[in-house]
Amino acid sequence: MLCQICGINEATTHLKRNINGNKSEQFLCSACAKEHEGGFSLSLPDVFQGLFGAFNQPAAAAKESRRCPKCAMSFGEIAHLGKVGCADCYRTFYDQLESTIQRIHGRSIHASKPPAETPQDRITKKKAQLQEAIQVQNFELAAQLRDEIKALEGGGEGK
Amino acid sequence: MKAWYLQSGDQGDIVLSTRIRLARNLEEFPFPMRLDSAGYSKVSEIVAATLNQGDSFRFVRMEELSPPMAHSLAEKHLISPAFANNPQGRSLLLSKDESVSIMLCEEDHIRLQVLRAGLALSDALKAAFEIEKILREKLTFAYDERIGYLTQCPTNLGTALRASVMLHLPALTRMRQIQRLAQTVAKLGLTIRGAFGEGTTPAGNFYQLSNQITLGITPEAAIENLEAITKQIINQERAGQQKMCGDLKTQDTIYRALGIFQSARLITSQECLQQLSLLRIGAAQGMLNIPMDTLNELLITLLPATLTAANNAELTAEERDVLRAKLARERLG
Repeated sequence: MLCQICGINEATTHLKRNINGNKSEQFLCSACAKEHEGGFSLSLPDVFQGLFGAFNQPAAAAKESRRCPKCAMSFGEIAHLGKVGCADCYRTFYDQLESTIQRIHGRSIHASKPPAETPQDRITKKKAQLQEAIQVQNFELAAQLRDEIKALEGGGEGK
Repeated sequence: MKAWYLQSGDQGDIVLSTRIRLARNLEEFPFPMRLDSAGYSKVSEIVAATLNQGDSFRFVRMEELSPPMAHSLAEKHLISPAFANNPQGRSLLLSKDESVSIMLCEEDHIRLQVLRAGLALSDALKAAFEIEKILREKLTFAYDERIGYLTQCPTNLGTALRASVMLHLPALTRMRQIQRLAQTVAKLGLTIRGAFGEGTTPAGNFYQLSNQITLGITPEAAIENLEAITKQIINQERAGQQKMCGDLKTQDTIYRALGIFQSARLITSQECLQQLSLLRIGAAQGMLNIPMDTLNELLITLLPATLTAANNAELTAEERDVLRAKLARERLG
């Protein structure tokens, strides 16, 4: 394992801290451990672990029952793995994830322009995919795309 | 175009290569962590179908590659080591000149990488967005107006862009400046780590400098930041190398390194990286008349998996060391 501060040297020191009940741990190389003997600075993985630490509190555990409607992941699982299950997880747990996102990146708002897309764009894309699926004779995929296009067209126009 | 490791680019004495990586996910599928092998295949087929028409990409099923072939792709930085180690159900789209690789269902559905020799961030970014545009016209990416492109790991949210440069920093390493440098660049939203292996001192003094922050910054601003800091590091490293080479003992070790490549019968991978580092200093400082592209080629082609994959047969460690020494003698003798 590499040192969590410099990311270059092999970690040889396991540093555990408990400040007013706020527990944290770090794996550091001897040089970085020495440098941080006095003070204590946060590195990126550390900040991430901070999120998981917060979740271990009983109040947060009560929210465990809420799950992502698409992939069925709970916030507890996301916090435990440090990974998100699908696009809808971000929407479902946005309020809980926002502070972590803010801490990882120093901000929580995307700077670039969004790519505009209308439902019609989605249908056009699916039709193009359908043509390609037919060309490569992937009929299983083609059948699924055809159903999806039908659903999109039906949903949009109320037919 | 030749593969990045068969040429030398801008600032090639210090910067070996530039890599731009964009992560994208399809809106309608769960992220790879929540997919099984069949899910990987389905996503891979959909993405491959949008790109494969021009025949410019080769579709590679990772399970069909021998382990040395898979790990050779990782040594060339075309795929991640994790992707080489977990081939089940995973596929790769690779351009013929190895300048573009698209890992399918690695940590995200799409991990699009563009590689260039030397320092070429703007050029690589432009190339990456051109391919992304082709994909975007046919696929719906997971995107949120507040936090940008949605990725399996929140550290990639926003632009989902990772830009990195591979640097050769023997002088800064010898002057024990890397740790200080790591702390400084961290404050500027960047990170630096060893490029080959994970030992205490990175083998051959090769490092990877990349952006850490992807949210709240445009792709253009992120690469400008990386480029500005890279140029400062290049200046410091060049001055350091010049100073090093004024010393007779350093000159001696550089000429001895050439002697080893011209005469040795066994060269381990570790020694190869160390001695190539010395040859690079000699070539950069005008002491040795060896083109940088030759040194780039040797650096990658003599790595263990690439050496084995090119040989078409299993090799023992000693057979590899013999072959490595032989190829080096042929090239530098």
